[in-house]
Amino acid sequence: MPALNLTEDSIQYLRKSNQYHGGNIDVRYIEVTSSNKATILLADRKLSLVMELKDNSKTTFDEAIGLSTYSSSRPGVLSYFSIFENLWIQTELYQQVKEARDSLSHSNKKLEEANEQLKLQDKIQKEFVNVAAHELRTPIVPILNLSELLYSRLKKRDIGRSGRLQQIQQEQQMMQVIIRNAYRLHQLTEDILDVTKIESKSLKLKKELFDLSDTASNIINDLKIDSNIRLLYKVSQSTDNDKNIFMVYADKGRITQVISNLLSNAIKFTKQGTITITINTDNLDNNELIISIKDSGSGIDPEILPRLFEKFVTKSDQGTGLGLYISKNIVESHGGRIWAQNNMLDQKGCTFWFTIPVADLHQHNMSHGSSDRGKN
Amino acid sequence: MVVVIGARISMINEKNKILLVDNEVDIAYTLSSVLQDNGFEADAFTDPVLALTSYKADFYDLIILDIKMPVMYGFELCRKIREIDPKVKICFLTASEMFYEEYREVRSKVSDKIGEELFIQKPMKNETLMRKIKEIINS
Repeated sequence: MPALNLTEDSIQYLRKSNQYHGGNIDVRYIEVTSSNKATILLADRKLSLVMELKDNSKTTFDEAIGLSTYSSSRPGVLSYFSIFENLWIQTELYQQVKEARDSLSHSNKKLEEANEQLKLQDKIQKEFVNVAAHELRTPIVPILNLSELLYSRLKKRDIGRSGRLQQIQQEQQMMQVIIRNAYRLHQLTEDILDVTKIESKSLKLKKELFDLSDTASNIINDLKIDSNIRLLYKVSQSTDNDKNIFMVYADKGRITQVISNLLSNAIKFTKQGTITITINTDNLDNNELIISIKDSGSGIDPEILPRLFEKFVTKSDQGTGLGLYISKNIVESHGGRIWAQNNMLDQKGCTFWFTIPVADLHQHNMSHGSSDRGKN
Repeated sequence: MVVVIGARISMINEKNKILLVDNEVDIAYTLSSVLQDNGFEADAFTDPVLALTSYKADFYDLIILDIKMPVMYGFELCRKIREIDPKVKICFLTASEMFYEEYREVRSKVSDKIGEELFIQKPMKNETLMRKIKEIINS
């Protein structure tokens, strides 16, 4: 018998000799495990059994042979046979498990790599927003602030002494055009940055506890509107005179942005008429306040109504169509809803509504203390 | 480099004194002009290191710092000014709020004894800017 190094070789050898002996011998291979290097060979002639255990780390067959046995009793053959059948099945299963595990760890590695890639892209995106914010906003400062400054200096100029009234008025008008457009550029920059933040999912909310009715009245007080427009502010009163019913836990700056956006839209499309802003507590059972802004303006074009909160959808000459898209995202990131419809019953104009969850005062009492209630 | 716009009028003591540090020359010029036209006395620096070496303790009513500056970030300058002048009011003025947000996050994690710095976004209309500054000075 030749010296055999590999189990494969020995199996090949045995298979060849099996054919030579009439092909009635089965030869199989059990994979080497880490702890022992034994190979089990089983040759069965149905009623008689030849079995051997071999250490295949040895170089010659004589060294490798460990145990061999011979049996010719039928029960003995069958029991050995079943033992090794099971062993082979287990070996195959082990092999399958090993392959599955290898493939899983490969997939995991791929997933990890993809995740790293995503994180990197996310970081690059955020850095881009940061750099873009800085680079877009910075040049607006001198344009906006210096033109405002020049305008206020022009207004203080002594018209009587200079005697050039018409020229000064023209210069003032020019400055106003610069200011208006600088502000428009500023607004556009802010909108584009907000959209970038929304789409890169990096719009962070700085939530705090505040009274929504106070915030709304502050916005209204700061608003400069034409005398042709009447602005009404209605707040539903609670029956038990609870001052806390308007307390919300939200990002005050962002909610202010939504209300200002809806109000400025209402003003833009209402050349003359009434705008009513209402904070409604009817849906307090669902733990939410409903804010509505109703105008008597030109209403929403039915053509754009279904896509009203999508990007770049506008009927305004000067609008980018980003305001409502941003507002929708702000409201929804607070867990609220926003919707709009044209006014019914022969009334002109349209109404926008949005909801905002009321603060869980019990929960926030723990961290803020009730003495802070009602403060902005 | 230092940009000092306008001579200091020391006779009128009631004027609020503001130190402004912004590395952008045009911004430093713009804001100090706006401040002066609105009755403030403003010292403007475009070099944060120079701003620190020529810092006068107990002199300013408010310090306005840009955040993103070469050599020394506004936060570091803020910390160094606090070492000299612990009680002075400081606010950040920046075009990128992300720096400020990150700074606040770090600050909220460690207990920090230094004063609360506020934050003003630029650009901002003159009227709003003046209102914010007065609010901070009077707070």
